[in-house]
Amino acid sequence: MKSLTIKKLFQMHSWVGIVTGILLFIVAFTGAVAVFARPELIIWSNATGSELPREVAPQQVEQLVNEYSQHVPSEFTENIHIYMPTGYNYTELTLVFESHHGDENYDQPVAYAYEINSNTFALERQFYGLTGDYYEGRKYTAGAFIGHFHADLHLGRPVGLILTGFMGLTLMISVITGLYIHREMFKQLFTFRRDKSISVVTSDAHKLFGLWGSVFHFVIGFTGAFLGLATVILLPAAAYVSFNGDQDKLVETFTAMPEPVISEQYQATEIASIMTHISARDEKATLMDLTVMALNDKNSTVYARMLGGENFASELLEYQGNGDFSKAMSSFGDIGGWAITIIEWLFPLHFGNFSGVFVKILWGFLGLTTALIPLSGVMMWLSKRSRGNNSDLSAVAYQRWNRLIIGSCGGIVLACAVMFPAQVILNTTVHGVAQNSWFAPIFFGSWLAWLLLSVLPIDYRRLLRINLIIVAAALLLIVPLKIITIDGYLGFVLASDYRLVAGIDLSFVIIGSLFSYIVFQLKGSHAALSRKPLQQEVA
Amino acid sequence: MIYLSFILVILSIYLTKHTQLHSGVKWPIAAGLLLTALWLTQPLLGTAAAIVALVASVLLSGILVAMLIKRS
Repeated sequence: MKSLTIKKLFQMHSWVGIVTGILLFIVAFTGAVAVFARPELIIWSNATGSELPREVAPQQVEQLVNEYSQHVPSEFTENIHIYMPTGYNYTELTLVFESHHGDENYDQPVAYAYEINSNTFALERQFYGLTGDYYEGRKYTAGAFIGHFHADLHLGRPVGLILTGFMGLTLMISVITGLYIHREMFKQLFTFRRDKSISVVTSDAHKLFGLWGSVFHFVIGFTGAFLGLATVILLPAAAYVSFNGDQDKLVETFTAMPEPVISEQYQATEIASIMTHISARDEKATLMDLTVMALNDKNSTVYARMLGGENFASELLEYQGNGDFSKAMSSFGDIGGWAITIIEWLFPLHFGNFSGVFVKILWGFLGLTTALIPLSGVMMWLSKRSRGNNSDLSAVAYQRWNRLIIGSCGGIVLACAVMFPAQVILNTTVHGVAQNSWFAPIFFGSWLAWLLLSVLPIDYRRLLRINLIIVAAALLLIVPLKIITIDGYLGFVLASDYRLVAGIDLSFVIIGSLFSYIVFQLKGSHAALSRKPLQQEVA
Repeated sequence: MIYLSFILVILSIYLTKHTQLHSGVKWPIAAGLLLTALWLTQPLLGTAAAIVALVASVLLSGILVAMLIKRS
């Protein structure tokens, strides 16, 4: 009975892996890159000179808000979003004056937006139109594009989110079934026979990543499934159960920022003193944005969204307009209970954004193992099917399968790598939001081109080598491109405030060199393998 | 300090597998190293974040030790 259960679970583990393996690799690999998207890669992408986004003094923020509030109709000062140039979402100080009820031109939420350079305070861009159009049309970067691709594969709602959420569920199933069927393997926690054949190395790596990383993979699967499915399945389901299907009512219940009641009595909103109090309250936390309700009104309220610091999850602080602190609450509002705490924790546990770069490095590497598990699993399955005299996979079919894996999985690695030198080139040739239209053709174009190449009858080992060479070349090209295109790059690359960008540049050089090393290693093993028949190799 | 704590975590995993010390000695030493790592990171990250980071460090250290250190 027990062996029958294990056999069934093994079949389930195998088939779930085979059916979803390639897509799971794609989602997990881009997730490992996306960990560094906000703020690191966004700041890196926008670094076109020696100036990087910097913190704006509280007094300056208050002055700018009051100055630009004079340029908009009074109803737009009832709801102001002030996005700090942190790199999480914005690299400019961005002021969005919003009217939820529209104006004389629109009957939907409409906004005036001003993007202000955080170094010079010069107005970089202004916008007037539908609020949704503003947020959708903001300047993209290579890092943000990859992050967005990880979230919904650029398929949009609900298809993309359901697909990535479903990948989270399959990851959870694979972890549970994998642990159960391989529970004897806990004795082999340190077994990695790197000097053996590729089949043995792949099998050892699969078990090693699966056993050591099981907790991480399960957490990523669970949180990913929640983030993907929450808004498209769980939210309507919760509204159906508790609010007679009224989703707006549900959202309203959980909204932390109610609409203000305007008193029409003047009282200056103390934005500067509120920001100063926020900094003193938790020095390590990052102020993401402020929302000012009813600017310079007696009933004005200010909400501050915080990330990191003493709190594991993001936090929302509420202040009265006169600067008095009211309360701290979760992003979902002033609602207690363990369920809200668990939901709050899902976000930092998935993104790894709760404690700076060190935790992100951990998340990035562990995320890479999440990506390599389905890949190694598919390789093991193929190898097993091609083995022996009675194999049910011919040598030609084995080649095709490997080309498909290299075309799709190697293609996504290649497409991600190509995005970064492309970003450097775009920074010098295309200005501002006009860059947005370039990222999709570069990313999907390079991926598709590589997929088409993999259809050709090229030996899969050669194809893999070419893939690695292109990835290495793309990453090693970044610094030379920057030297050519950015005036005085070598002069300020060692400056202390340029440390983040220089660190990322150095990381690209290291990763590119690592890929080059693998190419040379493969060259040796390729020569040895090419002397063996295929059947012997897969055995 | 955070990176030092990660080195301590790697050391503790290494100790549990690759030393000839008696179990009664190496497990308490490994546990001590993990607690020291937690003690180093707690003031910098906060308690909850330090514990989560420690668990993630242990997972990654296990993979690194298994992959990079050759068995004698």
